Amino acid sequence: MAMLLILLRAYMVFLIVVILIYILRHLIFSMNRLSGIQYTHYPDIMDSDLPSVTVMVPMHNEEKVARNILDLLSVIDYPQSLFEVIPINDHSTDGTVAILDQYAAKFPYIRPLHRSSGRRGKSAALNEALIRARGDIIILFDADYLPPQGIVRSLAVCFKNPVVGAVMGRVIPENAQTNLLTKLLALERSAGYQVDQQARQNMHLIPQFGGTVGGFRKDIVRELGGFSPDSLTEDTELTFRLLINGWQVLYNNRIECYEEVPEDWDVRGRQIRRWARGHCQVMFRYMGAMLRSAYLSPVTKFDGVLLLFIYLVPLLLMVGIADAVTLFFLDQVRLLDSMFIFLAVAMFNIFGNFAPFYQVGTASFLDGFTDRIRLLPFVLFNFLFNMLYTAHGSFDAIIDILFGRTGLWQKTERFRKS
Amino acid sequence: MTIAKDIMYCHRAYRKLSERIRSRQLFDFFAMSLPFVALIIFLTPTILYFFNAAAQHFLRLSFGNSVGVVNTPYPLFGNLSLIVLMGSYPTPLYCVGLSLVSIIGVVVLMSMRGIARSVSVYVSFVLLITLISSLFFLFTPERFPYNIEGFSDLYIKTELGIWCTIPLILSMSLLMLPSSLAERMGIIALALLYSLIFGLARYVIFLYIIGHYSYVYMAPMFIAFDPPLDTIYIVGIYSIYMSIVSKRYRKDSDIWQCS
Repeated sequence: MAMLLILLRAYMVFLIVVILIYILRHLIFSMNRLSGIQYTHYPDIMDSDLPSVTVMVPMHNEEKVARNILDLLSVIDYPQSLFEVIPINDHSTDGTVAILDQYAAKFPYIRPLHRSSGRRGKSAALNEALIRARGDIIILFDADYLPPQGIVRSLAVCFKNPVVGAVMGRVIPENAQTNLLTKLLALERSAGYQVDQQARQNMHLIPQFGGTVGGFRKDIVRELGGFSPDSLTEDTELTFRLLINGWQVLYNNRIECYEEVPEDWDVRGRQIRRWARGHCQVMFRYMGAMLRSAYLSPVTKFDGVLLLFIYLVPLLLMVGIADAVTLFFLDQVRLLDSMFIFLAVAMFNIFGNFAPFYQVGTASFLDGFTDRIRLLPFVLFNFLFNMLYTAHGSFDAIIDILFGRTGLWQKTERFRKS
Repeated sequence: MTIAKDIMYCHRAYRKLSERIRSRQLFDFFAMSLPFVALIIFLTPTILYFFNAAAQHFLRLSFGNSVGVVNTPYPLFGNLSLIVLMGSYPTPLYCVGLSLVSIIGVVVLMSMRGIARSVSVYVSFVLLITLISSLFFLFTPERFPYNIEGFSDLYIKTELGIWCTIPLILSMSLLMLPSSLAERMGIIALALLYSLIFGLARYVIFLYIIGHYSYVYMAPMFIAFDPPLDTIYIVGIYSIYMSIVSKRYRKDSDIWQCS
């Protein structure tokens, strides 16, 4: 019994230390973004010698949004001789196929790839499209995105830096005003990009390639063997594969693109569960290689550990709550144990990017979200919701690794009205 | 038609605070947090005396003269005043009934869809703790380690921890803002005052429920409604203040600079 008590208390101390590390990490990020030296000079690059670009748009039953993105890509400001669009129809059973063929007939640089056999999923689809792509730079958009006219040029020009392997832009919800969930997700996105990604860029840590509103060098990814077909977060995987091999991932806060965020709690739940599962898969696969990489500094490696570990934290917190309940019934609750729940709720209220409330506040302050910022307390109600789904995803990843199970790609449902 | 602007504001991608504000951040953190922490430690016996006297007053309206206050020593904070009241154990039948209600509640809530999902997960959590508690009292009631005084001790110590943490967390959160030190200290004082009043109200309600409806509700109240609810009002006060500050400084070219 004494041993059990020691273990229960030791686990609580471990969790408090983990929480304090993340509190400090995100405080440093917030301070850096608000008043540190900002690494934002890439938008100033002007060059007429542009690389050839292939824009890829993976689509699975995207008839609600396909026309919007293709319309916008058809008026993109980029030399036509250096530009092509490959919308990837990945086993669609709705009107997506017809829409793509219609646009292909009208615009010669739109060259759809229809996939009706082989493995379904974003990674497999991108691998097949990589073989057909003519551009040196691959730029990705999810089908619900609304790329502005100059975005391809802004992304492509960042590759003028020869050490840059991938570039990521900023994602902004276009349906933020729809309901409480979308407003909360807009706060989350703001914290994740305006503060988190930019601070990591400023501090030469690990800005993440997000798999959309971003691009990468085709040859490098081909050399690295393409995307793992069983990966559920091919973007996080690519980030770490590039870094481990000495390439930089660049975040450009000025390259903004609008997206559609989930309007339904269940859709959101499934989305973060997939993220957690995929992220933890990447952690299991690349943690060792990242720590051994000769290209990364010790500080960057430490941030990499925190970044890879982050989706496992909710599972640990869940065990921590069970621990706190056990200690309560054993009359072993000490100040630290009751403070654990308080600190956990305060610090891990947003699980998409794990921003504590002061990071969301800082981002909203910078973005000028003067009214939306008042919704912050509602974010806390999501703590258990997010923890449940994220922990489920992390648990899935552990089962995957133990039993060699592979996950099936699940497309996020769209809500756009015609 | 003129297209000229008097002031060109920086795009949000490049916006950052001016150097002037950054230089005083470390000083601000200590200046905002330490006086409050020192004050709480110094005034704890007095605060708790009034806290418990008020709780005793309200509880006596329902429980009469059976409500008492005892003092117990606590390192650093001096004496802790605690409420003493006769509590009761739930009957086995009550535990079975409560277990069934909790299970049904969890099943119904987890099948709900739509906007209520995040709320239903939270309520399910409360019901789950209630289920664990009722099963505990059904099978091993003699092992339950608390009485009202024990719960009072746990609650007061948790409140003390939270009162000391509020100045630290809020100082950390507010230290990056361009508003005056006095104003930000006012926000911390407001959060502490709210915490005292809300903490007292919650204390009375908890003790009333436990005193009237048995110890079985002690675990869900402490685990699900104590520390988690404290974060709500702290963040609530922070968010309202941030909204005000955001509006005030949105177009103040003195505090912003382009990176």
